[in-house]
Amino acid sequence: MYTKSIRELGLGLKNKEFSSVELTKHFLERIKKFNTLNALITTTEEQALKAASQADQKIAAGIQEDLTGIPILHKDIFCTNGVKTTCGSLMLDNFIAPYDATVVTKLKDAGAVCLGKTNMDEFAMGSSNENSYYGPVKNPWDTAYVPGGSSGGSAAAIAARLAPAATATDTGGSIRQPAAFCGITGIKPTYGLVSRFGMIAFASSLDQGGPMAANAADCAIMLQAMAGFDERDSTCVNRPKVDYVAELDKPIKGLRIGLPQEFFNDKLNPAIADLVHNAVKELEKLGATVKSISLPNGHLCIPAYYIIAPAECSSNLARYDGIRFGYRCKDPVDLEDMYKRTRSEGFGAEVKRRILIGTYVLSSGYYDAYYVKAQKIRTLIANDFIKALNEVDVIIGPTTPEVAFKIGAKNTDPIAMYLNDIYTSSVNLAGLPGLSLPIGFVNNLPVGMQIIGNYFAEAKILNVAHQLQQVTDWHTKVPAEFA
Amino acid sequence: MSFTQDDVNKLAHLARIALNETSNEEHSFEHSIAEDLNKILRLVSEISEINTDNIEPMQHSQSYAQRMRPDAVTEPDVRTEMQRLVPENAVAAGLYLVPVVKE
Repeated sequence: MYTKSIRELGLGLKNKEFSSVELTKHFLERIKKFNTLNALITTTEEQALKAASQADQKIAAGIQEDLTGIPILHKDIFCTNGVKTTCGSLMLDNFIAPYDATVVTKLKDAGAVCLGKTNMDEFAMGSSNENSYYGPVKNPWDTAYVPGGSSGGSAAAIAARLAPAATATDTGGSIRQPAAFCGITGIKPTYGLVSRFGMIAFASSLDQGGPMAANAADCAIMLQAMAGFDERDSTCVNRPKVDYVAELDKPIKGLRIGLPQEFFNDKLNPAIADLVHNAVKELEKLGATVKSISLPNGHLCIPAYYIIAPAECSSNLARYDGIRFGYRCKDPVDLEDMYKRTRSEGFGAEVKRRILIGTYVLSSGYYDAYYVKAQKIRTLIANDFIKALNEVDVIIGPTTPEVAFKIGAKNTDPIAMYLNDIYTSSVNLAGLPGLSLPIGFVNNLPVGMQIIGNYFAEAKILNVAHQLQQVTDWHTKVPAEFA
Repeated sequence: MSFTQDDVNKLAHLARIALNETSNEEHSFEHSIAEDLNKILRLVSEISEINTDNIEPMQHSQSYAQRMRPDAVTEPDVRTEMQRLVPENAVAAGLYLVPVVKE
């Protein structure tokens, strides 16, 4: 059952080949069996079986939508009423939200069954999932390697087929980079498409929730349920609903693809470049045309991102003061001691580094030189994309410059870790949608290709990815140990 | 500009993060924090050389105006539920308890 797509599982439920309770038990058993991956922080067996049983009653009554009775996982950044939400941090190890995130509500309403909450880099800061208070997640393709981050738990769980789909978030690449490292498909939607209400904030002008699944069609079904206007998120955009699923089967004849010359530079592993070119050739066979484009300011995304994201993080994380919720240090001597030790003990090293950098770039005398300057660079980066997307329908390139690295290889050098985001963070800065899908292997580790589209062009991106997946089979590969 | 230990201490105070001065183990946060911050600062300083005259800073990718809504209560009262989250049960008579601020 675990290799089936959401559509196939839905048919199985409809035709009474299995019930949602059986399906849920099947995946719960896999979660237990493969718990050494450390992909989950919390498993919600009891609630899952109850939700599955309710789904079975609905199906029996002839009420079935695409996600009715389908097991999914939530990244532990989405608040879940009555179930612990840790954000991968000791700071929130005891935090049980009294409400659901909008994304959680929407997926519940769509009938999905939540199996548990996935591991992640602390407060979504990291590219390897080594920054979790709950320990690193392992890459199912080789457990000595990282799954990427920050949505490493969701990515590893999908790759090992512990669930058909999962939610995730992406601030600088946190959906697409782990999707690439784990050989799965994930889409970061346009900023403002998916509600951020109840999604713990890291960098509010960049954070965006999105789905991960084995293939693009399953991502489309998930996004269909997750997207939509929400009064409770002031940056959520109110626009007509798009049918992502209906667009999947459109032929892509005449599609104009742009390859940014700056993405194929000497920092890119040549074997990854070859695989991207092979995949683009497949799209050409389907009728797409290809031209070279330029994103001249793209290389500035790393410095701009590592000013803007820490600045917003230092502001957002000021709320963790030990007073109203979360961790509080033992025996504080006074209020200042309580604030300082609570935050020193409750946060991990990377979070503290980013708070300090963010505090610096926002401080008096430096604000214009760093933060405002970075916001101007952001305009330059976005303008490059807008210009290119006037000439082409989608921009295609590698998701990451390298395949997954070994656990421990980069976690003592923050800069080496930051460079993982070189092809992804520019998309967040511009607020555009981007998808990563598997296109082959280098050194037996998966390689991801990124498809970037115009604002709110998720349907087009998913369509292109789905059409490629109709003529290739990389998305069906399951690591041997988990097959 | 590069960070001295003094600068780091000032920033840590502004951010209300205690630096454990006795901890200086090789892989500890305190051991490498000044050096790490300097590395990050060097990385991000690349943008200072870029000409951004007449470029508007971008706050959000979507330039939508903030929505207005009627001045009406829309959220339920969750005071009791919220106060159940208080660490160490530091709550009394509906008030949050903190260490003594003034004798």
